[in-house]
Amino acid sequence: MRVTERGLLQLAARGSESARTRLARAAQAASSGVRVDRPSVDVAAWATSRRAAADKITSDARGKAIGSARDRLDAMERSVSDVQDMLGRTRELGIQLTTGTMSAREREYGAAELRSLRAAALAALNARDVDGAYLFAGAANGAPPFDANGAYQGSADTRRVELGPGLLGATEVTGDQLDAPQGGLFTTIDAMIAGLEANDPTAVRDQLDTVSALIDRAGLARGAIGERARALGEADDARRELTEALVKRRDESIGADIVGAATDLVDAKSTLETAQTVAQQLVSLLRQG
Amino acid sequence: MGATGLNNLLEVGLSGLRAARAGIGTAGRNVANANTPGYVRQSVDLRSISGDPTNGGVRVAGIIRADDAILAARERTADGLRGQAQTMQASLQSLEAGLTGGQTSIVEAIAELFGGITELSARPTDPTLRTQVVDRAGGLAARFAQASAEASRARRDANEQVGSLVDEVSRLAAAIAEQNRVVHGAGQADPAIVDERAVAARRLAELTGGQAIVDDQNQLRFTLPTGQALVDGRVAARFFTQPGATGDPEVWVQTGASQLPVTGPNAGGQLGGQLGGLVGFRDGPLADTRAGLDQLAFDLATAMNGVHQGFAGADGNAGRDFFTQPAVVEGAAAALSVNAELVGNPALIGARTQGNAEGDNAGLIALTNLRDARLAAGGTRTFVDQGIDLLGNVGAANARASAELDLRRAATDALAEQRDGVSGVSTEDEMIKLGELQRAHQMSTRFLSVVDELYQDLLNRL
Repeated sequence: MRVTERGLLQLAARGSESARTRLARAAQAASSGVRVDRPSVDVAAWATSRRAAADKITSDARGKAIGSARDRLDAMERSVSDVQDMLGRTRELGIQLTTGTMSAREREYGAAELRSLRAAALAALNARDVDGAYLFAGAANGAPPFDANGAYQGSADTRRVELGPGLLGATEVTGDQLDAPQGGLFTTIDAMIAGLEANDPTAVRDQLDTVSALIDRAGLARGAIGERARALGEADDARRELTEALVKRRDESIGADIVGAATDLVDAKSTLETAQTVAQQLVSLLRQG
Repeated sequence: MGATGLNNLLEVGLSGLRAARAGIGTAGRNVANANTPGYVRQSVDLRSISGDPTNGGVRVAGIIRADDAILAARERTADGLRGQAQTMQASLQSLEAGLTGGQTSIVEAIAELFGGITELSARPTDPTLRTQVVDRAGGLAARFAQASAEASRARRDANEQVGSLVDEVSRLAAAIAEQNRVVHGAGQADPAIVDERAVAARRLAELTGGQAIVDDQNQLRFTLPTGQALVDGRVAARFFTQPGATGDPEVWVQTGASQLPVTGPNAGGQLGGQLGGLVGFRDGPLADTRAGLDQLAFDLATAMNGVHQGFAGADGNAGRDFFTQPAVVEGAAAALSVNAELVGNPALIGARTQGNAEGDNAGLIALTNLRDARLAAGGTRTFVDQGIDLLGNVGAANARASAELDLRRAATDALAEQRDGVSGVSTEDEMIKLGELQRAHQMSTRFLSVVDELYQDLLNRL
């Protein structure tokens, strides 16, 4: 085939252009560490990376929700533990103050202490979390769960949060779970206070079994809180593993193989240098002709 | 030999000089135009003048263009295919960059909105998290609006380019018709005009995907892929646009009183070339993307509103939309916006079952469930997956178009090399030819000197 000077020069120019394009791509991948920066480079890899990125956003949000729920459970555990201790002291007082050697005055002092314990228990069970939501009101945590008389005003429904895809978990216990079948927490303490003020040890003694049952109920509530916290912890561990896998999947699908990218860059540079040398030699040769 | 014979010999010598000079001039023209785009190498067509030894000589029958009609036709076809791939690929590349460039696309914005609702579900009365949800919903609406604006820009750009190229087609057709007129009147067609006409025909092919044929009267006829004649001898059709049913300009061709559509549903075929690529992009991948964006925005708003209306905000009232409900699918992406009531007071987000006290998060859990529900693409995909599919389709189309363009470029490069071999100017060849012609001129001059001496001899003897 007949080859003209113009044809030779155009061939050399196309070679240089192609080598420059390849060098630019290799440099971009090597410097940014990203192989796929848009779908047209590799649609499947890009789609995988976007799916993984979206799932990571979801996973991070779940992590925050689980974290909030665990904080509430920690606060609940502290409150219920305090209430259990108060019930223990109530039982001690009940036993002490119903012996025959106690005077009416001593029983009055005992009643005053019980009143103080009652107020502390009410405060503990009407405590709020950092957002101002009541801890033991169930789903209706905008208002105090117990009124001044100690009657439960909260909801029987509890809040749930998302632990995983399609998986919801309970995150609280309600204040009414602390009442025993034999009697409510505050009605029992009120009855003991009344008995002590009336200097009636029999009335006080009649409440001691209920107090023991209330202590057991508090223990059960703490167990339930612990169980929920454990479930949340396991869900969060699984979530963290999933998040790590998602980040890995995202990076692997669009990331550049650094060693490969560096090799590509060296190759592309060498190809460009060769193309430029050929072009220069052609120009020189044609000039001589 | 008498004077008449000597005169004839003079004529023989002069014809040689004229032929050599024509050849030298042609070689010079070739060298001067070695880099002129579209220039076809020329050579002199020399014919011997027959007669007895004292008559004859050589005559210049004309100028031969070193052209290959079949190769030229293949080039025009290749130019049309390359032009179509070029505009399609460039348009798709621009659209892809607009939709997927930047940190956050629609896909991430959808995931972030549902993520915000998940966070809020654990602390439903937290005012900061409520505001975050409304802000993220606003951010999603902004992403949809931005994507819609990108698609609108692409549509505007394509239509503007169509208008501009249609004007160019009309000008080229008129120019070819005029060149046909000039060539028709002349006995020997001026090679420069024939070259110009060939360049114009190639450009027309690049723009429309049509094909040219030169008849035995040296008249070029250019036909569109849809069958209409754009140029027929000295008559040029007019290319123009008028709005189609979608409001986009459609291309029409007018010959005399007859007007026919070249693009659109009533066209009798598909236009090729750059125009075909632009119209194909506008009515194909771009239209699909615009429709897909609108449908996704509509489906998302409808689904979220359907759930949100069933739950109450802080005021205890249910029945509110989350997004302002789009009336129709078309335009839903550009129009998507968060309910102004929620923007003004994020506490009105329908978090709880109506009748329940504050702190209930049933509404938020119900909204979160929409994230994994297959409510997009006719109930076959989640919203995130549909967003990925929508954007991925643009990328896939760009990848296909890029591969097609590379193929077409390789084909036109290969044909250009072949054409250069047939029609291109090699200065070395021309220098060699020049040397030969110079020698021929010298020999003719020497011949004339000999004839002149013979004349002198004759005169001296008379």
